[in-house]
Amino acid sequence: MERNYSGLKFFSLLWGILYVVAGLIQVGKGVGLLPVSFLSSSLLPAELAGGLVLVVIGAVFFVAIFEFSKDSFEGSAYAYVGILLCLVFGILYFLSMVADLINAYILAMEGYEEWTFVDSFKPALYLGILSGVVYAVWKNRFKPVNQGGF
Amino acid sequence: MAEKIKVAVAGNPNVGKTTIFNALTGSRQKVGNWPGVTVEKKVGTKNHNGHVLEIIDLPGTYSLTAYSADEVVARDYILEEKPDVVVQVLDSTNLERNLYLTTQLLEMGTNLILALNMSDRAERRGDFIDIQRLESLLGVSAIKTVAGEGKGIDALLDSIVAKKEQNIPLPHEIGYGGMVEEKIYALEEIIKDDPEVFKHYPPRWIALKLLEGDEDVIKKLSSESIKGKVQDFLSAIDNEEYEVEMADKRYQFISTLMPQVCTTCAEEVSPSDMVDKVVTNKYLGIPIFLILMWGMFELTFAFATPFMELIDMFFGWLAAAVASNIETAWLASLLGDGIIAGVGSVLLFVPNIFILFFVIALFESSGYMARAAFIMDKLMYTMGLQGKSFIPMLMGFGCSVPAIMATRTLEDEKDRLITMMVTPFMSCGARLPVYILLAGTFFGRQAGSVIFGLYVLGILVAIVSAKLFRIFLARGKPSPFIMELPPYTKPLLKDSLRHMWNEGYLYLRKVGTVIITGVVLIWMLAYFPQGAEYGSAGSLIGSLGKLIEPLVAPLGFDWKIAVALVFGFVAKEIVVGSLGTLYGTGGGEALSSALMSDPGFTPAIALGLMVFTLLYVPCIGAVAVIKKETGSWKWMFFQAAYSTAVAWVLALVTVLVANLVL
Repeated sequence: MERNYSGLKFFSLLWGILYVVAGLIQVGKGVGLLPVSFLSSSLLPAELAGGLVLVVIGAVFFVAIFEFSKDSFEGSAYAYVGILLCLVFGILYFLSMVADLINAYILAMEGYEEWTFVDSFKPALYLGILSGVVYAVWKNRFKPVNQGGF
Repeated sequence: MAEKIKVAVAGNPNVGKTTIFNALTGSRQKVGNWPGVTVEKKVGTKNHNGHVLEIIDLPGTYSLTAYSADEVVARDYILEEKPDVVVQVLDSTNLERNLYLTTQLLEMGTNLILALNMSDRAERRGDFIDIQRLESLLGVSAIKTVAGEGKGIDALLDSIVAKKEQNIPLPHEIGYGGMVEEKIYALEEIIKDDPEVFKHYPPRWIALKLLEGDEDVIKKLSSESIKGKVQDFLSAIDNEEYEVEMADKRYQFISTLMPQVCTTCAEEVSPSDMVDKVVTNKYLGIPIFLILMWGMFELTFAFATPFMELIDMFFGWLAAAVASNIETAWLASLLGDGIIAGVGSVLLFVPNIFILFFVIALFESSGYMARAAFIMDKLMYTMGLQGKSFIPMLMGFGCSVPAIMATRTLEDEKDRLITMMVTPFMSCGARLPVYILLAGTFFGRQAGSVIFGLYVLGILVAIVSAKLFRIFLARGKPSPFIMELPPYTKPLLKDSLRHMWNEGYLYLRKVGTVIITGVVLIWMLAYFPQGAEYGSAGSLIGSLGKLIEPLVAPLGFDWKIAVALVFGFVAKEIVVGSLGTLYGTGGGEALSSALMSDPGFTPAIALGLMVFTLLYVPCIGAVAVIKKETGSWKWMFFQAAYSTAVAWVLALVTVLVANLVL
């Protein structure tokens, strides 16, 4: 069964760029190459490890584009796993936000006096939410298919 | 008397090989062991059209490279006994995977018949296998069989007899490309001067196996000088690289063949295949593994904080209630400063332990942990261990005691000894409270990353130590890693929760026994002699600390840290309880504040202490298990001394570097 991958190709390219750029900005801020206030200190925080996570996810999408460019259906596998990783880390950052919310508003913990939602609204979270929407719309594209195996 | 025809039945495991063998031989079978090994040997005879067939059932194998006893037995039988006909049984519903063994049998130059078993299932699925095309492309005979119903067995017997009449074909050659072919040619040139080898084995096959680094084949060379030349030649190349390249070419050959013999039976690409394709990718596999591990520790730290706060509030309230309601000073101190503060400071980390084990259970039950071992295999092998060693090491993230016991699954004694020696470097759950306290206090929002870094450091020290042990203590090569990856499954919440509870319960039980005993002992040492200030330098614990302080003073650690580390030998959790006692604060935020306000306790010292806690002698339980499993006091003392020395050196480096950077 032939499938049209043009939508997935465009998505992989866009997501690859978004994740790698956001990741590199976070890494740059984390190691002091960029000022913390660059673009937005809250939406793109200085976070070395978190930035590297985004770069790795972006790399998965770039490999998807590379595979698609060879006319290989394997690109869809990379796009699929890329989305899964976006969702995993989106959930992780969502749970962190819930924990911060409890710390700030229910337990009134020290260090959380100034906390707002935006402090926890990091790229992995908002891009993860968008990825969830994309997955919900496109999940049939990742259903098993006879493609000759890997 | 009719001529005897020797027939070997080969095939992957679970393809119906034994059913075919039973159908071919009926009741005339003998079962024993292959000479020198415990692999089962089944031999049967069959009279067919005036011929006597001696049929031998070879062990089930995926390939004929000398990795396991089964493969060596199967391969050596074909090479040494030279059966007249080899029948390879294939699962028709999984042709692509089974053809890998076919390529190896063809390369050995066997007189091959393919029994395409379970053909009824393949047909029901809508697959059509073009037998004639398969025969002509591979130069073999092929018969469709349904062994359970006896279908195709007579045709198979006819084919065996007919095949015997034909000349044995020349070995089938797969083109491996310029780089590999050049080396094959060079090796053939070297071994052509060994007439014994040329007489018995296909020279190209010998060259292929030598290039793959098959040591079993080197032994087959009869001349010492040729052996020397071959070893010189091989020492200049990376066998693994060639092995991978050759396996790739065989699979390419199969993927070219498949669409020509069956246009309908291409394997379905499942989500499990898609995930595997990516997570086992040569370049992306390890980074994906690392980010998932980082995510696990980030979640462990971030999501547990509200629960920790609640526990801290509860113990704070309890300690205050005891202090205000018990008038006997020593009893109030024992309960408040000793038991409540000590146990509270350890129970504080129960949420972290539960979350960590829940996530590990999710990884295990989904099938990802098996991939982690697979991904790490190459790195592990390079450093002197096999991928299978990674499983006890991963278990070491939970507790070193069962992890050391799990090394029993390793067949090779040297692999096992090395794995036992390095497993305690994997950061067990008991060390987590120390990291959470110190990283949380000194590194704020970066705490999760710092903890992740410590776990990675543990893995690196384990791997580097394994390399050193392989060079100096247990020379030789690690056994190759053979493991079938289970399909991914949706992790069951109930099972993961049960696993979480079981591991968490062990932690709680330890709090109720070892840790209470430990904190009471620390309280007594801190309380006495009477008149001395509780936990001060004038108390018994202060004297003990001052005595051992010089050992850790170069690292910047004071007597309080020295005492905490000594008690940490009983159980690593006590490090936190000891600090709580010695700072007179119990656990939680009060201890964090006390540590931060201590000018001798800088972020660099905290980092050094975390590194030391990660690496120094494991707890008494783990040390006892090492003694039991190695059966040797020598190895037990060696592990304790080596790990403490490594901890000392790396903690010193950490403190020095951190002083410059932080």
